Amino acid sequence: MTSLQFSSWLPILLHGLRVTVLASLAGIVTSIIWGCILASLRALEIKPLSMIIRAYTSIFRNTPLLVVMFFLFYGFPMINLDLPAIACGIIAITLNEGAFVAEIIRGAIQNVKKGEIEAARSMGLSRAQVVHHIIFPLAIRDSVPMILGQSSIIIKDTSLFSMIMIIDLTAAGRQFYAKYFNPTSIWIVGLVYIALFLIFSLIGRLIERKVRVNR
Amino acid sequence: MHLHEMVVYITRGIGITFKLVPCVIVSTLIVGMILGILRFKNIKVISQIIDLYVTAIRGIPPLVILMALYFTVKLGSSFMTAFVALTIYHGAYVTEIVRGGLEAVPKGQMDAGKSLGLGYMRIMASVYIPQIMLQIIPTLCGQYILVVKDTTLVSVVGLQDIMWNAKELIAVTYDPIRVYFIIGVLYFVVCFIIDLIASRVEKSVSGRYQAQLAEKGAQ
Repeated sequence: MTSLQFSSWLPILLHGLRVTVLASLAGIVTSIIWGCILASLRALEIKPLSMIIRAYTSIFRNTPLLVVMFFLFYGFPMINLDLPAIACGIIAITLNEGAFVAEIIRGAIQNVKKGEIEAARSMGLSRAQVVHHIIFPLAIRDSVPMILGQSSIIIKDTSLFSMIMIIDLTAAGRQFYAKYFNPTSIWIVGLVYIALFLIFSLIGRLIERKVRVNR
Repeated sequence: MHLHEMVVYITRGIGITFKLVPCVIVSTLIVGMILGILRFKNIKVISQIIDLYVTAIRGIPPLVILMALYFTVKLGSSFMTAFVALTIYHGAYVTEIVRGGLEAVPKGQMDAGKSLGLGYMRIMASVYIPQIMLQIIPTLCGQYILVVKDTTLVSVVGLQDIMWNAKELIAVTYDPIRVYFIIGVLYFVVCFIIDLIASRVEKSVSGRYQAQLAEKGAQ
């Protein structure tokens, strides 16, 4: 890779980096919100609703993200819904990763002590109030480390955006290769992904320290 | 085009996936076992190298690994490239799973083994590994579901798999919704079966574990 080639590629790389970072942040936020909603609804323990959510999580945990992404990307125009590609990508990530986040929180909810729930119930709180004030706040704290782990997977998931014609980090690396047949760009992109991951885990560790509770 | 014709056309590529997945499962298990055991031994340099490998893999998307390998090294066939890339990627995760399993075994067993004059490898092979095999199956199954799902990416290295056939089919039928729905269902069935095995084993393992705890409590 000559310096001239590199300097002409750098703007594309930076553009791709921006897309990947922004898409990751958006994907992480929406997936966590969606996961929280699903987990809370399931915690209400309304039979039919729980069953629907169970089916949902099972379906999306066991379906490849790329298939969901293609389904939405090529499917939306068929129903005359013209969304930008990036929106399709983020919706796909949210649907898919939201299911994983919901499962993580559900695991934490199962560990909430029965006594705390019963105490709240005996004070006259409704099931919805118990979920809102007792179960969810307790569970979300416990699930922070695992949600952060899942979030780092979401960063990697955004690499699939390159398959639906978005110029993200991966696509930027591929573009350089397509032009000069030089794979150095892909390795650089790989290193950038590792750097992103390391930065994210550093931030994650700070968040974890902040929310940790000693019981 | 009728639905069953579509299914027939798409599933022509399924052989690739069904060949790739067992190969990767076996190879990652081998890589994970070797590296996990080495990492557990805690020799400084080796541990640092393995940690570096695991951290790097945790940061890089599988798609980038596939492309990097495909564009850089000529491995004979696309299948080989996909196989090696997925092994490198998932091997790191299996390494962590194996190490986690080994660390959960009580330390006293190592001392007991040593006091009987057994070597490190012998202790691993006849004391540690048999114990953790069942314990790590649920986590391993979770990883293997990811392996199955990652096989959707292998068309980037030129493998004519399901996704490749899907593209061709859509070019003819202009019906991406049905095509990707069929593929989604196919993948769901495979992953769901692995998921079922995982939860089955998990139940029996946790049952056994609880029985052990109860036994300990009784003593």
